[in-house]
Amino acid sequence: MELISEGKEAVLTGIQLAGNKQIGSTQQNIESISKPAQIKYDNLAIFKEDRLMGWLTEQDSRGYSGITNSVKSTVTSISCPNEGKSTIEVTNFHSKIEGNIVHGKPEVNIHTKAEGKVGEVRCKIDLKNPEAIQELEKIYEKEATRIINETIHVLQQEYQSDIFGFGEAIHRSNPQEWDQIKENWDEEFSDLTVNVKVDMKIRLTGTVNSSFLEKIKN
Amino acid sequence: MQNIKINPYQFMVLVVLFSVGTSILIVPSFLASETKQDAWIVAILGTAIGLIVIWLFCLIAQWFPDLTFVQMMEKVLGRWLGKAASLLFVFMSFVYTAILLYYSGTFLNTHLMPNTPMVALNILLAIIIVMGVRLGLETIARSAEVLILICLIFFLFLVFFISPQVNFDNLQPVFEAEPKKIVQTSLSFIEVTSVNAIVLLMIFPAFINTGIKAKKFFLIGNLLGGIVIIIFTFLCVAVLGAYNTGIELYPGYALAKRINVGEFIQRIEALMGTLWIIALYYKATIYFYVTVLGFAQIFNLKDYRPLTIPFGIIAVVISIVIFQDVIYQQRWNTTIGLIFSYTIGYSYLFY
Repeated sequence: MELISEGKEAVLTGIQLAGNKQIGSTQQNIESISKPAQIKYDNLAIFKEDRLMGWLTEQDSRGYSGITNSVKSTVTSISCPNEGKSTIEVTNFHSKIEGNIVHGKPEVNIHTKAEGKVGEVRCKIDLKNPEAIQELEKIYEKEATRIINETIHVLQQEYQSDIFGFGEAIHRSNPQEWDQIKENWDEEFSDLTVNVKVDMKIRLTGTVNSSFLEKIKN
Repeated sequence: MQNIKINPYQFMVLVVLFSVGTSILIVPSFLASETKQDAWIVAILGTAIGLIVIWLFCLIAQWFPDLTFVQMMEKVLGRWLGKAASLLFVFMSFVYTAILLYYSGTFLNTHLMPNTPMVALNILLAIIIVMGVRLGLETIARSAEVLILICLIFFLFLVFFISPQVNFDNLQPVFEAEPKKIVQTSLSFIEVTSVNAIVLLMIFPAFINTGIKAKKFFLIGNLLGGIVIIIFTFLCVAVLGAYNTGIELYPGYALAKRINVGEFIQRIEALMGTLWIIALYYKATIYFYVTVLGFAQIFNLKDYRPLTIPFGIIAVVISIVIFQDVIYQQRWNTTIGLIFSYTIGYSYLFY
């Protein structure tokens, strides 16, 4: 689909052969319990039209999945308000891409709504305090916004390949303007303004309401 | 609509389920986080004071043996003031219906069905609540009579199998908490088990076939409910320890997880969940019944049944938006909810 679509480029999951290639092609490979040659999922491959442009890093792959709504559930490690780390279990992640033309220049707004639980706390934080939860929400929002922004930046600067479908979004919202810019969309894409807004709601804290770490003295 | 009568025994069953309702799974955590290993003493004190509160309620009921609470209020405060006060009362009852839906939703979401959206769970429970209320008080009471047996069996089962793990060291030193703290904490305890029982004045004494004589059953029901909670709090603290009980959201459930008799009888915590959901269902149903019946009486409607479906839908919506997260809900319980219930529960006593 993406190969023929205007305003969206293709992405594929990379598959890698890890280990010894020679043994991998023989029957010997499946006779032992830990196989000498195995197939592994790798990073995402970026295409432009039908040419392979490069590979996304792990973090950029997360950003890509977030923007294109392919996240069902995930865990994200974020830092605590003071020090240490905590983990958020994301149970719902939904992004909406909206195209717009402002002063003759295309613009894209990404609005993400996420819901989650506190999965793990490895720092001193008083979860019994409602403000602590709000702080964690803010930190998560910042972190998610950063990842998405960085992913977009990498795609704009290094590959000039619109894998997110921003072009399609503008086509949907402003069909007339799209006709004019679609010819040189790749250049337009690389200096496109993208506004990212993430809205996180933490609803549950698992089976306990606070962490024992808070009680441990230095 | 006025010819509904239930017998005193059925009423007692409803009182037991009402006072046990939310408490068995949640209250031990709150008590233990405030008063540590003395939580069970607070539960005993709370039950004792709770009985006095119930006795006061009975006293009011004695003056107007044929009227529901909303009608009483109209008679005492006059037409308009009475209606306004009743409206607040009905509103409280309605908010609590929604809160109970929220409780069941978060509980199922945390322990039993983590990937189901909370809305779906709340809608399912709301449907059977609306169904129960539409069928009327008699049906609710009769079904409660049957299900209380199941609850009793589960309860005895749990108490019996967890008893080998009781460790009395966890309870010592006794009376470490300050007396002031004990009294303070017991106030919240009374809120859940007894003060909110004011909604039962909509049923008692008007809808009971022996009338005011059922007073005894009101008190016994509350006492039995109190004993169940005392036993649970005691077991939680004695088995899990005060600190663990305090940080668990659902210590009763964590308690049931510990059951392990001869490496054979174990992981029966779903029984505990079932027990809780049954009790919570009746509590929510009573709140909801009181809401729609009270509303109908305030506006002189002939029947409350047409109100059930719209009110049910609103309750589901409120149950989803009412608290932003569980922590906020716990804070709410100990602050705003406490004041709210006491204002409504007591100000009506002194009119």
